[in-house]
Amino acid sequence: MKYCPQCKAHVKTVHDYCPICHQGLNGEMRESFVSPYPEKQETRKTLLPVTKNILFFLTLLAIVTLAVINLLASHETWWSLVPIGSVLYFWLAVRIGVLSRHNVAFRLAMLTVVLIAIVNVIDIFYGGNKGWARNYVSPFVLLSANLALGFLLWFKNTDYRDYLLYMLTIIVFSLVPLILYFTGLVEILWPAVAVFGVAVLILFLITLFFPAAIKEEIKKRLHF
Amino acid sequence: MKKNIYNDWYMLDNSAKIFPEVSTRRETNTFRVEITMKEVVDPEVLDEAVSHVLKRFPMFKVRLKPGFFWSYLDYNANPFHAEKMTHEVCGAIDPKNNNGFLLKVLYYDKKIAVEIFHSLADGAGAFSLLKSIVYEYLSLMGFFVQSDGLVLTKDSRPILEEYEDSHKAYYDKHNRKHVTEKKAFRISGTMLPEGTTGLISGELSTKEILALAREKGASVTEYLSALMLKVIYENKIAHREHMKENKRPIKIFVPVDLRKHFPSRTLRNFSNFVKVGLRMDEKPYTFDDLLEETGRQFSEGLKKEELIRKMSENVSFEKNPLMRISPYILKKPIMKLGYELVGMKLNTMSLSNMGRILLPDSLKPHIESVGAAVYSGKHNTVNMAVASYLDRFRITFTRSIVETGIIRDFFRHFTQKGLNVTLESNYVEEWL
Repeated sequence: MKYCPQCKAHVKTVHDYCPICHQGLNGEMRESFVSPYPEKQETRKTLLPVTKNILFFLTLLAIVTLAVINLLASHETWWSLVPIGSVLYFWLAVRIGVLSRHNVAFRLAMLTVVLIAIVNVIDIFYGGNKGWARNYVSPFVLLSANLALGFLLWFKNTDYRDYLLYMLTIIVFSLVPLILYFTGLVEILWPAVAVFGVAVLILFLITLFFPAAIKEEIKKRLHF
Repeated sequence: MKKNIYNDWYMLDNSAKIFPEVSTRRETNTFRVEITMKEVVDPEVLDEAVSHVLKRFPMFKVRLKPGFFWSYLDYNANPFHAEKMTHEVCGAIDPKNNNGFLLKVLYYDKKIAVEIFHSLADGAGAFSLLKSIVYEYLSLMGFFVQSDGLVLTKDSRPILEEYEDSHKAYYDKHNRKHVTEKKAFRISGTMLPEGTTGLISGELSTKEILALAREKGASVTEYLSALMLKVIYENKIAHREHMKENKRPIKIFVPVDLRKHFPSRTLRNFSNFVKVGLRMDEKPYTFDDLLEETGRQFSEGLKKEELIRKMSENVSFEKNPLMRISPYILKKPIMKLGYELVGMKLNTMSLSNMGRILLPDSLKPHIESVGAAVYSGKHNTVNMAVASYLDRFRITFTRSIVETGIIRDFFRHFTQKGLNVTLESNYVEEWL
């Protein structure tokens, strides 16, 4: 054991100065002595933040380039919205779908919402508002999200508590196309009915198989 | 009555509610309890022990989730693993890197440590968990162990009292007067970089330090608090009394385990505090004056009505109808702002005495010593934690500043009186 003559205290260390007065120590430690606390190790720089930044930069670069070309070349139509939308969706798909650490149900629900927003913007502002996005694409995206989340809930039994909330959110969204049909915003009935049917079916299945879990989830989220 | 008490969700207890909102990488609100064994720890056996024991502590096998009105703790099905201790002391626990958990079990050489976010438990709860882990570890290593009723073993079953938010059980809505407080003196210094904490611990003889305190007719905690007042005064205020910041009272925040005052068996938070506060610029105090003043403030603060008042003040905040119905996204900034404006600056330092750690006889041959540490941040730059086991009385200072003057003078007080002090440090100055 080492000794600090100034502090009159024993010190267990491999270093040659006192931890509290920083003056020299007398004595030696045994050969087998291990430092009582770990040395500092350089924390490994994780790749994730760097990848996120590079991806974000490339996306921004592509969007600005496309917009500039659109403005310079022909600004009668906003044709660049299509590639910009695709780039944006690609970025979000990677950012939310791959590089995020949220649970898989959250990612699916998020990407569904983003995709629907993007296709509708493209349809309204560039496609001449023909309605393909809200009539066909949105209901089918919702339909696939319903099925995907339903399967997740079914097979990944341990995590179902975490998925339930997103499942319920998507089910609520799935009712929107049918409502829009009755307000006249959506012209084609059958895709809206299809997604409505699947959503209601899944809702029935959940209430049938996880009735307590649904009640519990609502109680948890809303306790006050 | 809850149906399933093994994997359920829990409301944050009253004192836990503030921590998720105000914790950052600098103000981590994490603390550590550790046990040093006689032999080097086997990580694989430890890992197995932890997975067994965590089933016995469902209230810690949780993740934090946002609700619409309050956040809450939900059962976490992810696997939990013990990790090798790094240089970080009471660093921020990022649930995303930790399978969602708010605690860590660490090993290094002969040490087993639990680092835990304050929303889950206080010192008593954390030590219960650590003792169970060590017990299970030794049992898996093939040693004969017996709990003697001092350890919660994996074979026992959780009881509902252990989950209780005891604040709500013992508060009194008629005794909740709010007492406004003045800003406390802050120990200034050169800040260490974020994520590095200086740790210096000194081991004394329990008998010697007890004798020293008894000789003055004080408890050990009172003695240490008075000594802290003296050391801070001599280091930071003496000869500089005229300066504005030195006219602020030095306030030492001493957590009080309420289980000793109320019949609670909870493993979650159930502590309150006594504060020793004194303006040091007005007149010179001798150490005996300080001891007397500390003793007086302690007996004031530890009166049952006063403990209930402090507890009820916090509970009434939570039970305020306006607070209850406002959505979580609004509560968050309110709590953060309130804490930053008022709460954080009310203490100079904290002094947590976890007391004597009792272990069954069958564990004693394997255990060298125990210790504890609390985080240090922007305002409380030097903090102290104390734990003792048999004749080993360990005082651990953590600091977020480079300077060690206060710690030096603190330990020199004992060596000058002829007591034996053995120091350990993580030598944070080597990393700068």
